[in-house]
Amino acid sequence: MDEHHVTKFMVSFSGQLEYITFPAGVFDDQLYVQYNIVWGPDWKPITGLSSGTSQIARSGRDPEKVVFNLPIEMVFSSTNIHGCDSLRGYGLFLLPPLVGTKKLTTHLFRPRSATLLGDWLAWIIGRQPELAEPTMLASGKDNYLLRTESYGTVTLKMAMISKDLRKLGYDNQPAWQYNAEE
Amino acid sequence: MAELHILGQLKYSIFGNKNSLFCRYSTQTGPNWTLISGSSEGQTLSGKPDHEGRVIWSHPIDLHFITKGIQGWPKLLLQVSCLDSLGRSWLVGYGCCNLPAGPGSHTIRVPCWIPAATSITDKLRQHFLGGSHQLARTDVIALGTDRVNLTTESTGLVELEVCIVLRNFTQFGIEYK
Repeated sequence: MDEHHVTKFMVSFSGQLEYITFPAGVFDDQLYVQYNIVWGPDWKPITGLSSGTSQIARSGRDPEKVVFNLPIEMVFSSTNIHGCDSLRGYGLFLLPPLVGTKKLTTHLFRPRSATLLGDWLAWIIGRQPELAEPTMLASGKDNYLLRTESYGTVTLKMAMISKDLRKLGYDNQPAWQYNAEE
Repeated sequence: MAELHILGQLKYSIFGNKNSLFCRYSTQTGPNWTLISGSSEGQTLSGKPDHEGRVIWSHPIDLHFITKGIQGWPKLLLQVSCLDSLGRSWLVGYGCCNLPAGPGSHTIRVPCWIPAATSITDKLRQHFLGGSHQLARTDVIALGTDRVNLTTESTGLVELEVCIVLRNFTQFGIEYK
């Protein structure tokens, strides 16, 4: 392709959601994870699943850790980096705009009831409050001061490969060689 | 014109034993800079500290600037407030950090401060009833001048992670590597 006609770049993300840890131990017998990938207006998905649900898993010998190893693969094309994708499960990752493999860890959180009565109801019924529109976390706007508490972490390993990003004048590489495993 | 993308997250804060914390942030730039997409200010959700004393926000930041010059490189101003069990809120920390200029991923820890209570009655009131002093002019957060008369107290820290992507900076002869 002629270099002057390049107007789009392509970005491929591939990786896996590796495991969840709960530092005080896993109290529920069976856990599963749902994910959504959210992107901005200039991005166009080419291949891959933008949302998914994992298997139902339980912890093994290590009582704090639940392994999922859920593969996530997505290819996008775009003209503008704004609105770079993010991933959430009441935990939010920014898919790295940097070439290479990266291990990402984020903390999980859950909403708390706005009232004391709601707190008691959640305790009696055993169902925690949930977000009606979880993708609102990715936009960062209109959260109306949602009250949350946090517990546990999720670890994700993600590799990013780009095409035509540098031809379009973008520079996303740090000056030193980046070692993602550290 | 050169373009700068700032993508990242306000990850968490450590402010000791507070009931619930949230943060308002805004960006400050010089006159050469224009924000073309993203919102320059926002507010996180309010979180309760976990067992390590961290309040998790995971609040996304996505800013796209264009610029005609490098004077006034973007800064991020943070105002952390707490929310008590009665629904009252007051400020617990001011912080400011320069956004890094080099491309790549950066972890930034911003230490925060607050105007201190100087009189004994104020100290007693803040200890038993809560509340805090606020700055009347918030431009002091990002400025080095006029700080002589200010008595402050250090409070906590906020950690953020930002990825910087630059576009066309080398075309204008800017050497950042």
